[in-house]
Amino acid sequence: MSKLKTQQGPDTANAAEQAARFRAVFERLKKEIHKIFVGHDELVGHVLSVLLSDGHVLLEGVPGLGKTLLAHTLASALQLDFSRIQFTPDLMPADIVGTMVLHEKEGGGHELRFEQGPLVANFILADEINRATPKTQSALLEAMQERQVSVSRRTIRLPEPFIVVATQNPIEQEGTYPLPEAQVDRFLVKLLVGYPQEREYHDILERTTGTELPSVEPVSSAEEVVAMRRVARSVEVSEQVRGYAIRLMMATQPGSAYAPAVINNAVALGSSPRGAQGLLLMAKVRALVDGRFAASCQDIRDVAPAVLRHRVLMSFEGQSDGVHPDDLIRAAISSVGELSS
Amino acid sequence: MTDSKGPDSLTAEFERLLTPGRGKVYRAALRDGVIVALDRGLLGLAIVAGALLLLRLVLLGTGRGLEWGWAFDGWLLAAGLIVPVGVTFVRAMGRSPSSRETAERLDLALADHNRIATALWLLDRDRATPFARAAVRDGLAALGPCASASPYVDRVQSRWRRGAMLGALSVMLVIVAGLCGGLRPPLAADDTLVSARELGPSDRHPGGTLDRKRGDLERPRGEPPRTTHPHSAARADLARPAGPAAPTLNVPVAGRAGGGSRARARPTNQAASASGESTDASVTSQEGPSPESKRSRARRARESKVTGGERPSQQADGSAVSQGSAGGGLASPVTHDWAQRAQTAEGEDPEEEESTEEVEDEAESSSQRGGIQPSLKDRNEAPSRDQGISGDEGPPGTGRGGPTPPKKSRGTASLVLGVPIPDFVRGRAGPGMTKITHERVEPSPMPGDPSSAVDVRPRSLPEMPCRRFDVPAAFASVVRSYLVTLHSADRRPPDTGPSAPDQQPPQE
Repeated sequence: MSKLKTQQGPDTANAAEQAARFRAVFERLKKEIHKIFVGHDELVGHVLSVLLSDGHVLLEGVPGLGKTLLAHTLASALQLDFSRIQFTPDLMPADIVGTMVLHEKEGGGHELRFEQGPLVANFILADEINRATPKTQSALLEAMQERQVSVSRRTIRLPEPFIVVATQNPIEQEGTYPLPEAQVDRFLVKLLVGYPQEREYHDILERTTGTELPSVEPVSSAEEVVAMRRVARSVEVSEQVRGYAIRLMMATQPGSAYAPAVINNAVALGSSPRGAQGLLLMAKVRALVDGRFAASCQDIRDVAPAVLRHRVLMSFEGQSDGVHPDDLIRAAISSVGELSS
Repeated sequence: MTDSKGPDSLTAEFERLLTPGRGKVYRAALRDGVIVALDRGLLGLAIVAGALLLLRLVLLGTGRGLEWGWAFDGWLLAAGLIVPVGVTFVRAMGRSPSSRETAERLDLALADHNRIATALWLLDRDRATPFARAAVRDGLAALGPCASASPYVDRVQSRWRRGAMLGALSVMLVIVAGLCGGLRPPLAADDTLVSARELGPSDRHPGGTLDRKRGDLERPRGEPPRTTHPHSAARADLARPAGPAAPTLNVPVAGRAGGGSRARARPTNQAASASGESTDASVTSQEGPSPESKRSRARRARESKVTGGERPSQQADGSAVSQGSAGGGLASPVTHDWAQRAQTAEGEDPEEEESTEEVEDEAESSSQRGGIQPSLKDRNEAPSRDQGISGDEGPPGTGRGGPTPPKKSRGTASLVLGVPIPDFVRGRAGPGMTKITHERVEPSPMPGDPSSAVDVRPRSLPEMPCRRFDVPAAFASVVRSYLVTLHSADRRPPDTGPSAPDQQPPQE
């Protein structure tokens, strides 16, 4: 940990040593999370990849599957400044970014002081994000993209690392406000949290109903996360892999040269360039975790459903035919070839 | 390895290790090229055979003979087969796979996360970052033991069924084309024989009608035009149709043959041939007859009744056709432009003459209807009655905006003749002083009818003031099926994540 912390950049150290260190921290984080959060190994890997790719996560699942627990556990394992914001319909932007509050001076009189909101933290858990109004949801836009919040004439830089883990419930849509496309596009991945396996239920019940509750030890820090993000960005991406990511992203856009027929029929709006950026960043982390120094087309394929599923806007025909975005991404993957020529 | 060797030596090492794979890619591409070449050759053969058949049919339809035999067909078919095969095969032979392509195909075959191609790309780009050097070393390590592996190649599907169908189609087309070649066009052959017999040696010029025209221009003025055979003129009169001119069939051989043969082949130009002006007629035969109205023809017929055997001079010299065709020239539907030129030369404008004729026709029809009738020739469109700004300028109202002539007045007053009633009156209504008076009135109760209570009864009106829309049954079923499909996902259990089938509880 200390070695990575003192490095000025990846050029000054051996790449293999940095990659090994990266992999070790990654595995240790995953192991620590699994002390509390049972199962869903791929889901945890994706969340950690997003953390190290400098992105944000949108977790979607029915209640009771441990979405909030996963975010809370990750924050505890990282020793990060953690804020949990429960999004409700009456939540206002000032409630999360901060506002001016009237304070009484010691010598008499009053003054207005700025009280920063819970958004100024390293790790934000936006619970049930689709229950707040679009006005409040949009308050997150600047924080997620620019890493700053603006209140009145004051601009506050958010601390590094900054990650938003938002959760939403796919059912009970009455009284909710679906996230606007601009907001959804800010999330690097959208992960679907499913039910655990049968053997995982045994572990869950054993850990949560006994007398001794497991606890999470911090295995990393904010500085180390920032250093790991630098290492992840140093991973090489060849022109072939980059072209493959671009073609895959374009294949989700109806009317493009690479889009298969099912996408032309069922998709109204394809992925934005942020999709290709997300593919490469996630593929880099995946290559490092796999012990490689360059991303591959297989890495792109592995992360494509998580990165692209929320960037595909279904058309009326697609919705009426019951087409799932993951089916479309699989069709796009099968229609795009690896060879660059 | 990378630290001790420079980029050039590493590139050479990559090239050396990629050589076997490149050879395999080249051979696979050549093998696929043969398949593609044969496929394209058969397609070319079918196309050439089809074109040959089409050409024969066209030549038979136009009356031309076939001047080649089976040997020429064979050469054409062979060219149609050999040229695509040769071009495709030569192109496949000349295409050597690059190191990059070989590396990518090796990566695909080995499923090694694009290590080789990435390393080669990093070497080409001369990237010197630690991760790039590590990736190059990684790629070289992956390539070393697998250098003799077979790279991934795109196998071209050999479409034997399609090729067999194309081959069979080609053979069938060739046979049909051969059968068509055995036929002879009867009319064209006879025509050719007749024209060849009737033509003199000096007339056998390939220039057709234009050459004949040039020959007329070169002829001295005093020399009379070449006359045609009298039998051909007689045949032309017999073959002349009674109706308007038939569409002209422009056959150069017939055109060379002069009046006689042309008269038999094309009954439209028989008048000119009968008059002896065969050369002029041959020029004008390419131009279509000018349209002539029925009224003009009827008027000319009446004039001919009135004047008897007399004829205008321009018609006399212009329609030598009719004189020489035993009285049939007057009813000839063909109008020659030389005759029109002669008429125009006397100072009459054809359009003016036509309008004069129309006026005369109208006067005649008015007299037939018992008196002077309104002139229907220059009738204008009625003024628009749409509200708008009127003006004296501009074209008649068309209802499309713009200045229009003064509108007609409306109402009963407009029926009084000579009393112009404008559409609107300028100025203020009721000008003058305004007087306001105030009057103080004490409120007083007004007697009213006491309302009596009535029992509330069920209303007979519909429940809602708005009318209910009756959705058609077909549309309702479409909407219902859409909603059912849309909400069928709600009844599905949520995604259970990466569950394996073997870990599901047994179904009993």
